Amino acid sequence: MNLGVMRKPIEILLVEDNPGDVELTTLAFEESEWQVHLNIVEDGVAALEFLHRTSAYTKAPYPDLVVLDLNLPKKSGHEVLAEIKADEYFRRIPVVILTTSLAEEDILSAYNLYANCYIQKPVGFSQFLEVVKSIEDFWFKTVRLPSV
Amino acid sequence: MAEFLTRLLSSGPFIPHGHCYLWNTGLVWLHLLSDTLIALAYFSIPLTLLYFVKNRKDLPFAKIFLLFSAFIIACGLTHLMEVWTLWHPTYWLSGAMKAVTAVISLFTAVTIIPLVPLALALPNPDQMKTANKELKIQIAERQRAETALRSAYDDLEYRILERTTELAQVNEGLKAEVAERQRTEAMLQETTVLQRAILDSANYTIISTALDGTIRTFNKAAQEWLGYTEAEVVNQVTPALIHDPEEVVLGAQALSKELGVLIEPGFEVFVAKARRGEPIEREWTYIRKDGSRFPVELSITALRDSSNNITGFLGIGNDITDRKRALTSLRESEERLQALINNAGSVIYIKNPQGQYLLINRQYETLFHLEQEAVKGKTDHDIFPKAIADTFRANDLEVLAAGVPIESEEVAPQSDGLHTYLSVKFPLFDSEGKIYAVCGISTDISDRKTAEVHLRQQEAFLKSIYDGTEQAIFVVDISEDGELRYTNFNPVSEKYAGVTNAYIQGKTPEEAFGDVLGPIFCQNYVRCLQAGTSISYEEQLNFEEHIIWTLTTLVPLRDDQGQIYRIIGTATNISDRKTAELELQQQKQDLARSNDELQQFAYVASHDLQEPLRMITSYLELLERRYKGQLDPKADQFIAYAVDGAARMQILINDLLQYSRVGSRGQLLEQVDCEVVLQNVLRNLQVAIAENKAIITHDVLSQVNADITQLTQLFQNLIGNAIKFHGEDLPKIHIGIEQRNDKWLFSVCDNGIGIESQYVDRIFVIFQRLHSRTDYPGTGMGLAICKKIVERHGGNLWVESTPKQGSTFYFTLPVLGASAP
Repeated sequence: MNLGVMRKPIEILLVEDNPGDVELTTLAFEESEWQVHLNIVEDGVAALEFLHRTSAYTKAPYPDLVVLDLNLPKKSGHEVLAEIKADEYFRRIPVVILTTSLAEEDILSAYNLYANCYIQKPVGFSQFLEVVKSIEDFWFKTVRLPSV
Repeated sequence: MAEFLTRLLSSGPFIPHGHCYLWNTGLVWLHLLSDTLIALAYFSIPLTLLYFVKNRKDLPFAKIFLLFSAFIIACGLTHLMEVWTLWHPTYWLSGAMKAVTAVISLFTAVTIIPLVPLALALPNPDQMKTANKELKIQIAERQRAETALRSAYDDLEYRILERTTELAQVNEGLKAEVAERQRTEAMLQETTVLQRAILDSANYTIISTALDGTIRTFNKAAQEWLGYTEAEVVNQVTPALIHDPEEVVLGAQALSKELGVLIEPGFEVFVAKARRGEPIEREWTYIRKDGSRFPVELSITALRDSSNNITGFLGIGNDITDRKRALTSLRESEERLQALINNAGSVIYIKNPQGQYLLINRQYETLFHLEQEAVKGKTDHDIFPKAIADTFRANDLEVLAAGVPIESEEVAPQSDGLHTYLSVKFPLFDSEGKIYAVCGISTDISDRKTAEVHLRQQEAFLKSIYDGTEQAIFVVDISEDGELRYTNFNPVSEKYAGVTNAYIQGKTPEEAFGDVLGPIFCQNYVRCLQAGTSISYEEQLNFEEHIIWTLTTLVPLRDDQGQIYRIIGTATNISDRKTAELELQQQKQDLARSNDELQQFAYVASHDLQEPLRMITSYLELLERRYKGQLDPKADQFIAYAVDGAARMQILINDLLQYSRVGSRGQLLEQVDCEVVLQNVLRNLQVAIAENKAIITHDVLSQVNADITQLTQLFQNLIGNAIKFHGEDLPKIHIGIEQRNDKWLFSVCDNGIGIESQYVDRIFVIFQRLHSRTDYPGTGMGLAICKKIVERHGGNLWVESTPKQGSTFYFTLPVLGASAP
């Protein structure tokens, strides 16, 4: 699939409770060459409701990519990751862990729960832009994902 | 033989002699008659000869006449044989007969030759006539003598008459004498009766003999003891009857030797000495009529008449059977006693009241290397050192004074040193009840003494342990009823249990400590009995006064049959240790919690602290990006400072995080090749090395046990520092290694700016810096992390440095295989 020629925008679910990071991420994706629709939820529970289209998210789209922070209210990023990867319908969605933590155990448990990649949030906006660009380049351009 | 006879007597194949004469009657008759007559003549001659020989007793050479007779008879027989063989051809027999005749004839011929000169010497009839003439002269002389004799006879008759008158006178005198004699005889009779009474009542054998030994007297005692009647012996036999011939022979030998003259074994043996006037008394064996024997002591004296001529001998014998028996028994008893004394293991001695030795036994001789004979007459002062002899004498005197046995311990020197004796000394009394000696029996009790002393020391030693130890010691016995009962508590046991030794003795654990503690104790004792070996355990004892923890050991003791009869218990108060253990456990928990908290902090630091920092940085940057040039230049500068500060803050936080993780998040130590680590480090530092034109050399590094990540960090920090703090010259760095005992000594040597000595400790403390951040950027965490890494690996890190010349950082790591730190 070539996302670039799709009419439909790329649906990204950003699970992030820090408004500063939400803002930075939003700014970074705004500079993207891709047509991206950023869906934002602020805690783990909301993230799962979004996926399952329950509660306030009955009309939520099926996301093409999940960008997941680990340190989240209500349900942690690891729990959300575990539920996604345990679900036959959702497990094929690439999950990018974007977090401040460089703790080894966080990295290890994320991959053990089938995270697709683990990225530390960079210090500085320019670096942040680079990271977002590299995510886009890789997941939207380099790799091929299933069509549905 | 039989065959020979048969042949001799048989006629065999021969023909009768008559054949030779062709049976001519005339010839045969001639031979027959001639031979028969010759034979008859030959037979008659010897008879005449024999008669002659028999009747002429004075015939010299009578034997030769007998030989002639035999020779003539033999010749006669041969002629008779000639007649026989006329008809019977037994030539062997006739030949034999001739042979016999030949032998006899020859013998006779040989015998007769030496007789010829003798026969010639025989007086002839002339000589005989001369002899007869002389005889006649002698007869005439005789007749003359007879005539002289007859005249002498007539003279004698006269003399006899004279003599008879004299005799008549003498006879008168004799009559008077006889009367006197009769009176004397009456007196003698009286004396004889007395003697007889004495003889018969004497308790001795009294035997008198004639000079030749014939027994004359044999008193009643002799009759009774020897079993002979007077009639059997008196005037019949000699004392040989009642003596042992062998003994007499021996006696003769001894006596011969003694007197120097040969004494024949016979009566002389008894009387030889008596004969010489010497009294003799010695032992003999008497043999009774029934053959039994008994010893006597026999004294023999010679009997003499008024002219002192010996008329006989008197023997008085004393039966010494009882004396002999008593002597034998005494001797045996003496020997027994001697054997006892000599074989006794004790030293035995007898001293007179003056202290002189009378006797010592063999043990005395052996132990003190003395001899009985040498010691006799000596005192203890002659034998022993004065002090010791004084003691002996004092003890002897005590016995002499007290007159009763006294026991004392005495010390005597022997070749191997002083020995202790237990001496029993007692007085010996003579028949008058006076003490004539002190006897002592001394037994060596040195071993016992030594053992006693040793035992006492051992006891004192054990008691000092028992009483003085910090441990509780208690003794539990299995009593006869099978119950476990306490027998002893040492002072510490008393203190721990709050009871006295007197109180617990004989009590079961329940009786002593009640229903709660008692059964617990009991269970442990039973456990020990069942195990049959010593057991150790820790227990908490809730006594009434206090609660203590003890480490208790129970040791079972077994008797000779292997049965356990006692348990020795020792208990160490480990209350303090237990408290310490509990405290340690508490501390461990605290530490674990503290570590957890630190972990938590690290997480917070890594995540939560960085979160706001990142916000600051990112948004400052966003500000700069969006509004650069729209604010005044000062504002731009401020933003730059803020961004720089935030960046440093982040590095600080990361270093701190790393530092906290050295101990808590390290990986397992495994075998690592330092050479590989160093190559990685040099690669990591490639840019810095190139920029500074650093020259790095190194020894061949070894393998160590390490966390590879941390080891890499260690090398990287140290080499990085060496490059960073270079002086004016190009940096030269050497990484060395050498072995020091069981450690590797690593060194990183540079030619950099060096460190002043007062700072060498400070550089290892976190956040401590020696230089301005402008000159040498950094957080001051690097060396603190290095130190922590080295210490985690069981080594040390230090620095030796000369300012402006360079520094050498040393660190040690254990050699592979050396005991873990």
